[in-house]
Amino acid sequence: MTVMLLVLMITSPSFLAPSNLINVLLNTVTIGILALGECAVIITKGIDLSVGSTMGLVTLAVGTLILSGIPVWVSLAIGLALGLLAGCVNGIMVSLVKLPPIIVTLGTLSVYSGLMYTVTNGQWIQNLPSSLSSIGNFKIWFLPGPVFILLMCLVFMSMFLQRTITGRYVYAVGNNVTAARLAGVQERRIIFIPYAITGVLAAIAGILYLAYNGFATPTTGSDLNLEAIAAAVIGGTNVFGGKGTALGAVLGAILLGIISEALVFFHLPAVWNEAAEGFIILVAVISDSAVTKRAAPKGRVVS
Amino acid sequence: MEMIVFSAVAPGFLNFENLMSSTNNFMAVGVMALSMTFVIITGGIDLSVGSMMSLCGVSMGLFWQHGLNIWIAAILALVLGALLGFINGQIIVRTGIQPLIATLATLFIYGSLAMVLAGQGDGSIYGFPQSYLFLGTGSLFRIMPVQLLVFSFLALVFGFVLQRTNYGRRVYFIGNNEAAALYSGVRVQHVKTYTYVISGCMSGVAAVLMGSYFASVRGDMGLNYELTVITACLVGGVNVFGGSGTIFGVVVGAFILGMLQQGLNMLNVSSVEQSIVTGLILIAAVGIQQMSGLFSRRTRRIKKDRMSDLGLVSTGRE
Amino acid sequence: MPEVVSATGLMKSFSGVTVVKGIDISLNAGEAHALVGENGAGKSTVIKVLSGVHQPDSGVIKFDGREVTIANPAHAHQLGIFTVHQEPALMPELSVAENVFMGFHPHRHIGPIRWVRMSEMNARCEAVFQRLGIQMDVRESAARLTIAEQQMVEIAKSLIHDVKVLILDEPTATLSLHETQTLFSIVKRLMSQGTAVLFVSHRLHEVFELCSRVTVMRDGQMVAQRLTSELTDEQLVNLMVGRKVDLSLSRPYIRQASSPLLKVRSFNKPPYFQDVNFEIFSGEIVGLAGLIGAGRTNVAEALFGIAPADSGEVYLEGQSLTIRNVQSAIDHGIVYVPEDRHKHGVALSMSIHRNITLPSLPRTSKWGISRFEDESNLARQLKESLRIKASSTEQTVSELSGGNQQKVVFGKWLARKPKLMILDEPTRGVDVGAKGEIYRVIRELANDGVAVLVISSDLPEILTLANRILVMREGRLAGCLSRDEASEQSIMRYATGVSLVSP
Repeated sequence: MTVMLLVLMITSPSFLAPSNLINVLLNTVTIGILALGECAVIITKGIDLSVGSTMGLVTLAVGTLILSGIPVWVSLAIGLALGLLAGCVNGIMVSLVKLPPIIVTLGTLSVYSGLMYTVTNGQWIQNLPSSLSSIGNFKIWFLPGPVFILLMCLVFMSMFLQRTITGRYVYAVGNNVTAARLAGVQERRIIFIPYAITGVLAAIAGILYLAYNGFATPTTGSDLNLEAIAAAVIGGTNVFGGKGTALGAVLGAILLGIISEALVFFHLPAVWNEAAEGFIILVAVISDSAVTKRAAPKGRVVS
Repeated sequence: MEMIVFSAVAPGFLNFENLMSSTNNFMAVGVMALSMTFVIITGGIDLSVGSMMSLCGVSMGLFWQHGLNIWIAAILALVLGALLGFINGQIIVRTGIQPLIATLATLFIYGSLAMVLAGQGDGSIYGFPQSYLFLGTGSLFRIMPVQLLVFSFLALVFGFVLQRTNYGRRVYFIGNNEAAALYSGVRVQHVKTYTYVISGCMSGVAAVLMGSYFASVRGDMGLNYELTVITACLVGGVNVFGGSGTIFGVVVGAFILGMLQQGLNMLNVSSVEQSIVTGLILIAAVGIQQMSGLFSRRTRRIKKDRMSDLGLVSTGRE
Repeated sequence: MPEVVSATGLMKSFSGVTVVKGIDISLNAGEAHALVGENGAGKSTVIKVLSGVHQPDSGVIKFDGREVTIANPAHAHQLGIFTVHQEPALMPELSVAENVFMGFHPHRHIGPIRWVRMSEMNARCEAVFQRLGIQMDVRESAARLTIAEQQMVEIAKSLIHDVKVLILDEPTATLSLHETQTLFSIVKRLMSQGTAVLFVSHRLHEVFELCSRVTVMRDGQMVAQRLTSELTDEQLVNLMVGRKVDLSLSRPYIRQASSPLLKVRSFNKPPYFQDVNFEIFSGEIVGLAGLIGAGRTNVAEALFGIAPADSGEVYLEGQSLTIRNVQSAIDHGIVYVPEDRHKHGVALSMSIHRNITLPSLPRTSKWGISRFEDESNLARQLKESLRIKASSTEQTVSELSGGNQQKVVFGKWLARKPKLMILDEPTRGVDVGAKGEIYRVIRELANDGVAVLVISSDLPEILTLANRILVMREGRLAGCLSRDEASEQSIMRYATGVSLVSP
């Protein structure tokens, strides 16, 4: 990943000018926030295919509520609660009912994206009041508001994963369930939490998206389901569980953002974007597994 | 039961011709679900089917635009699909990365290539000869849609391969116990690679069918198909962890989904909203599998794993 | 010295087979007590009962004089009983300190949230390792540790609590000499601080070095409890073995062929095995004995193409051959019955029929299409000749007993008419009655001219079956014993490296 960044910097010094960088960041806010949640889920050996749809659902629900005259702050609160609910549904099915995460979230992906349509009757959300767009367009010092919120989410997630006992248990469960159980970790609760957090983060991403863009289509977020996973994986989250960081996930998202910027910069058609993402996923995962193999315990004996 | 409900609330649903022609809508899903069954039974998954379908469809269109006979172009599309599947298979067996991630990556790559290729025209290619369009929309004797015939034929072939051939036998065995298959001299990597090759090839078939049905091919014609295809397999009773599943079940699964779609269409439920029902059915299907003890083999295995984790059962280090 | 924990009249059986029959054992503070016996004598079951993994069927466990029920491993930890396994189960991606403190992170409360005090954790962990007298980077991830270091981490886990009893389950099997010495110095230090130690090992010199008392188990029973100072190596070996060998069952063998079926020369795959040379004749049953981890399975897997050897030559019927993968081994008539039946031998949820016919599919089919008739005939035929007890060949393998499952694995290979059959612990997990059946099958195979290589840790089994016995120690062939030279004592001497003194 660093290599790729270097190549980009060398080939085009102006490319990573601060203003450009902030642009990139702004474009990666939603995907970055989604990747944060996805990363925690993957650390527990799970996967959440429905993050993008959860985000889209919240976006449309909040938009519809605001348009129907409900105060902005109430709508936002409902949106956050809706995200939490969506996450909890995933979490309960995975941890309590013990269904495989990929199936549960594949199912809820369909359900949530169907609900999105129901919420809006297939209409676009637009003509939103200015009070909402102020959330999307404020600035703190030189940082645009959404970027600032992304950073807040990153700090929150890093603190949660690295510094709280619950966060450490998330890693423990992903590393070795048996060992975690022996240490008294209640694995069901621990597996549930990342899904719930992911729901809330998806809601935040959805609200920011709506506030910043000022409109939303009935398919908002449906292309982000897989991209959030891509960002997390590129950022070093191991799909076999137990390994990954919040910072890595955001960097993965930024790298995806840089690529799409770079395509524009080098006058390549935007459709190459996904091909580039695909290659990066492969490179990231294959090199990761190669590194892991090399760093395998010395002198381990097979018997 | 589903049929009764729909025929009650939407008269005309059970009109025979109507019923038959409605199958045209979802035969692409059905065809890809057949090959996906093989992939899932070995314990893999192929997320890239939709993208392969787009890429094959667009390539077929381009071949045709450049003067090839449409049928030769269609066959080339199938070959291309097989090649794309081969790449998937090789990535998975050679690097050992999870099928989910590998095919997620190729989903992006193939999909993007399809868009790039389609972009050379104006996004879609159309104007195919009538003989080709007959494949997607025509019927034999007015009642038997050609697509349905193709699907039925393929379903019989796949069912036969899975149940009656050595290859099918090995596919099941790998899904049940990959290590034991290896220790029995099964070329696990070959068998697995071929499941992806077949999957690619069937994506090509789906592209040819859909190109004919819509009378055009587009760079995004296969978008989001992967999830529907997987749903059809799981609703059809294929165990998501591999090892069991039948073509008959998957055919039923595909028809349940397709009929549901058709019924909801007639009730004027939008296609996006239909996905709510699809999603619920998927979760319900797997939930029921889990409850009814169809998973008991799996749970036993998990139990055993747990025991070996605790050191209750002696196991060698892998 | 005060008694910390004791067990009296311990009984435990699994699915009708009694594996521990009335064991009395007591551990004193500051003392190391050895538990020895052959593989399968029941030592590990005793350990698992003491560490809370299993519940005894009967018997009394006392801890600090009070009667207790050790409900689960977590409960054992609360009491102060910790177990270090041969292969520790750590969390590979987490740091050493986290592995040690998992579940017991030092933390402070901020509202409802518990914050980990990372620096305190690392510091306390460093202090623990200092107490153990070893250098360890506590921030290093556990995946990068050697097995020995991982065991140190397991010991460190016990040190953050009040460790009263430390159970070491064959900890040295995979350690080098130097690592073993470090481990021992740590254990001795803990003993001097009052910890009671239960030490399980096959390496008798270690038993003498570390332990003051020894309990010998054989077939689930306690045969002796002595002070090590009253015993010699030789006496201990005699106590451990000494099971009756029914020689009437052994099969006479007269070598008929002049040249061997299989010749192996300087077979190498460090660190698993080095410079292995042997030959085996058609119709001969050769035993391959040795301790766990001596490299026997690795040699077998190299011959079968699972993990080919790095160098060395293999001649089959005089022809040099390279075994690159399993297919080539099978095509040359070399087959392998693996040690772990459930993992590598059978697909449990599939039928007998499907399991048996898998390697023979090319022979019961035409152009890749099964001929059901031939296939089910083959399966039925093998079920008959092996006397597999099942309602039909369509019965699921998981419903069969261990012995019959093993026969399914045999059947799988018999259908391919092998020349050399390698059997890895063929009677593990098989009850006594079925053992005899499997012995019968093995003898019939040899009578039909198949060369059989039997890997077994069960000495009476090897003595009963084999016409010639090879013994491996630490990756090398330590000796070759003819039928007349072979006895449990002589095999054990080669396997453990205890110097040969004529009895």
